[in-house]
Amino acid sequence: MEDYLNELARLLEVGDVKPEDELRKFELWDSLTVLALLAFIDEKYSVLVSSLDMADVETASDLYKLIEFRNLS
Amino acid sequence: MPIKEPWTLVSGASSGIGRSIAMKLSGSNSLILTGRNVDALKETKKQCKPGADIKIWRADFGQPSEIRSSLSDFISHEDIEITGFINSAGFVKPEPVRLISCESSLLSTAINYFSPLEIVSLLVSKNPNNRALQKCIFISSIWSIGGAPGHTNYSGSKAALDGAMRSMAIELAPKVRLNSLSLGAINTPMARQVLNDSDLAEKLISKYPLGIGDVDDVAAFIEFLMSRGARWITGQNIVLDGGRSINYSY
Repeated sequence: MEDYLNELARLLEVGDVKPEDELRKFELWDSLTVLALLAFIDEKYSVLVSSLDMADVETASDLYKLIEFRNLS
Repeated sequence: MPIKEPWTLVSGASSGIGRSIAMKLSGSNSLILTGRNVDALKETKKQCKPGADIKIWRADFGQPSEIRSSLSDFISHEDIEITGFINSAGFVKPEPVRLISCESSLLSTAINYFSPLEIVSLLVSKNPNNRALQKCIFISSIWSIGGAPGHTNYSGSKAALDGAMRSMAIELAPKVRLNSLSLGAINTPMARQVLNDSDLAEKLISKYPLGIGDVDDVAAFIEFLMSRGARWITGQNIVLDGGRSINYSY
């Protein structure tokens, strides 16, 4: 999860991101940031996450749980 | 000196468009498949026409400074001449402009520009390829002509090769014909992120008057471009996009 949170912090240009942080509250959370994040997730975890999946994601850990679930199934 | 059999080098042959091109051309051409993943290249070889002459040269386009010596050794070792080059290797990773770094720019440029250029340069040299190159096709993208958010390095590096292609076409004429194909969305693993997303895919497809393309659509055109029938076509960036780039609909 550390790599994932570090990449989120890099994309959002903040010092760090905590699992409970709400993604929509970050100033730089926009469609292009999401696109870059989904490309990272595909490359790093071989998991495809769609924009429809993102509708149910609120916090950083919500998305990570989805990655873990897809990665195992 | 006996005339050597002509070989065609296909990069990015481990999947998608490159694999499909290899399968299509394998009936009439001796092929060298190249990419990073040897197992995937072997799988492409299996899918080529039975009895086709196929060799595998492993290369990492992310390391352009190693390309020349590696290919040179391969040509010498195999004692062959390469007369055709189809560059289907490509790298795209969406990235906002604010996050672009030298590292990310160099990786895009290494794969999409430096490495194919190194190959052409070697193939038109005396040693060891005996200046045998005659036909070259670069797979480019409509993002080299237009643009999209997050694709600065992809657009830039593909457009760089399209530009280089024109000067090479003049310098190397009449012996070598070079062209590039700017492709619209094709159903390949590279497009999986978008096509897997029903919301995005629907928006994307609606912009294509003829729908999104299939790898066979590209392979069929390449077969023509490599043939004698295309002997008067050089230095062109040809758009294959199902009408996407001329669609100004509301």
